[in-house]
Amino acid sequence: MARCFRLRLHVVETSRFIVAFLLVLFAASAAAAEAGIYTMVDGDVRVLRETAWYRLVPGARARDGDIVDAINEYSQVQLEWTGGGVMNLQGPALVHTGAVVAADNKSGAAELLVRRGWIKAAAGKRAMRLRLPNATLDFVGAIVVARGDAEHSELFVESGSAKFAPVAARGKAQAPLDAKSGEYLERVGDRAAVAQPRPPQAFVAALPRQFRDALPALAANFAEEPELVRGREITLAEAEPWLAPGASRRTFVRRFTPRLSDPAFRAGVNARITAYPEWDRILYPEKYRPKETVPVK
Amino acid sequence: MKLIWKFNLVLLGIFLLGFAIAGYVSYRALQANAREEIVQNARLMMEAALASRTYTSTQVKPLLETQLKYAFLPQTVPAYAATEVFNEMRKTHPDYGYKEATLNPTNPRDRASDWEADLVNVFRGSQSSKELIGERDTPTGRTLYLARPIDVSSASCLVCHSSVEVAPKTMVDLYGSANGFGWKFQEVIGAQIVSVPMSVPIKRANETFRAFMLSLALVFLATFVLLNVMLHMMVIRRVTRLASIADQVSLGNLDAGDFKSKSRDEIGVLSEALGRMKVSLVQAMRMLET
Repeated sequence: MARCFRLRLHVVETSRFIVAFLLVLFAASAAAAEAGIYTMVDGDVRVLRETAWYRLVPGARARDGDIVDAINEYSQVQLEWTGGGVMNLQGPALVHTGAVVAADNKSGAAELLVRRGWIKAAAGKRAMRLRLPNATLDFVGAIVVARGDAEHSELFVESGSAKFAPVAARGKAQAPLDAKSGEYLERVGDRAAVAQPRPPQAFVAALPRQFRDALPALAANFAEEPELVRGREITLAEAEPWLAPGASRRTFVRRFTPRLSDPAFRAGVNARITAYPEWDRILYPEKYRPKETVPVK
Repeated sequence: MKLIWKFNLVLLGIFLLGFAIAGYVSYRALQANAREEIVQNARLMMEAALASRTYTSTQVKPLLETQLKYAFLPQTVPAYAATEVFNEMRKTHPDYGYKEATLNPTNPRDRASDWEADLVNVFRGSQSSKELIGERDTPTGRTLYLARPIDVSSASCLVCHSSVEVAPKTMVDLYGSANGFGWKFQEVIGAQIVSVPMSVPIKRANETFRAFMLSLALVFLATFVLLNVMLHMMVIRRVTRLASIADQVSLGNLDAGDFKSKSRDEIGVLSEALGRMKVSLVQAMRMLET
């Protein structure tokens, strides 16, 4: 009887392990699955996958986790998600694409971490989240135009409505504001966000010309996926914007940890090791070993 | 009074009467044709303006809807488009004009002047009046105008012209909130007015008239001269000769001359008859003498 029970327990535990293993495999394959298509690439645009840069070309498939760098003012890139939604970047711009993982581990809204630049995003039925340096924007079925850099976020709701949540310096979101169609919001640093019924002339004048028109749907033109040419690895200077304090820092620390094997990268980290406590543990594990206690006689 | 003078007087009278009648009729016809040509030109311009409006509202504006959220584009307004097309034409034809004269316009340049406001009020007062044609003097000369009413026939007009709250905010940013609002559905709010110069067709008509009358006068003159020459050569000179011979014969000079004539016309017959009469007279005189 006891033997039968132990056998049954062993079978159950093995089954659980197999199921967990399959779930991990599925999640991994889902992450690498195609999220959309880059349907417009003008000028110098590159995409970071894992830790390597690739020169982006039209028709390339997008993956969650891509970091898109529209290098200069002549660069433009458009991403059309498979599940709906379009994003257009005008350089110089730097954006991380991904998806919000909901509490039940299902992939939720498309998420864009905007480090700098102009972006126009049109969300369809699938929700979209824009994370600017000091504000977060959530919207469904709306079209927004945003510009962000380290200290300044601007937003215009072209149509629909959006929730604008100022983010404090320590990463905590504050009470969101409802932004209606036609409204403009601005936040400088940690100051309170300012809402206006119309965008100021300076914003409209600086707006990239193509953002004044509807974003075109071009995905149908790219049946074949082109191959991307792998370039060099990311440098510490290029990784810096993603390692700034914030809610997503930990994700990028994990992502760029393999770069510690590069002597130049490691030297840069060592030079400012206090800024990278996570890597301090990896590079100097002896500092974090528990001290041996000498028994008292 | 000599025969030729009587003849010339009658002929001149007939010519003058015909000249006057022809002049009057031709002048009226030419002036009417010229005016009709001007009116047709004006109608053509009006149709071109309407085509510009339709093209703008059906093809151009839908493409720029998103841009309108950022900055108001007057190029999406049908009235603006039609006016700008004609302003372009006016660079080479400055005497022509087109205006969408409005009593309460959004764009100040469309505000109706005094005489334009009078036309608009005529349309507002009479539902049946669909077109007005008239003439007026301008610094560049006499001008014909063709006017048609502009009424709020579509609810889409009221999106921009009913109230400030409903109007596109970018439009209010550009034009302000004081003008171009308060329009009502099916209200006549202005008039499309095409102005066409009359000078060229009228000048052409006058030149044609002068050429025609000059030609007619020359024809009359030539006819007059030829008729006089023919009358003299074929009638008066021959009758004068016959009269002279008959006069001599009547005075007893039977050797004055012969009444012979080579032609067989009425003068020739008269000559023959007078000849026979002279022969009979000579024979009678000889019989009397014997």
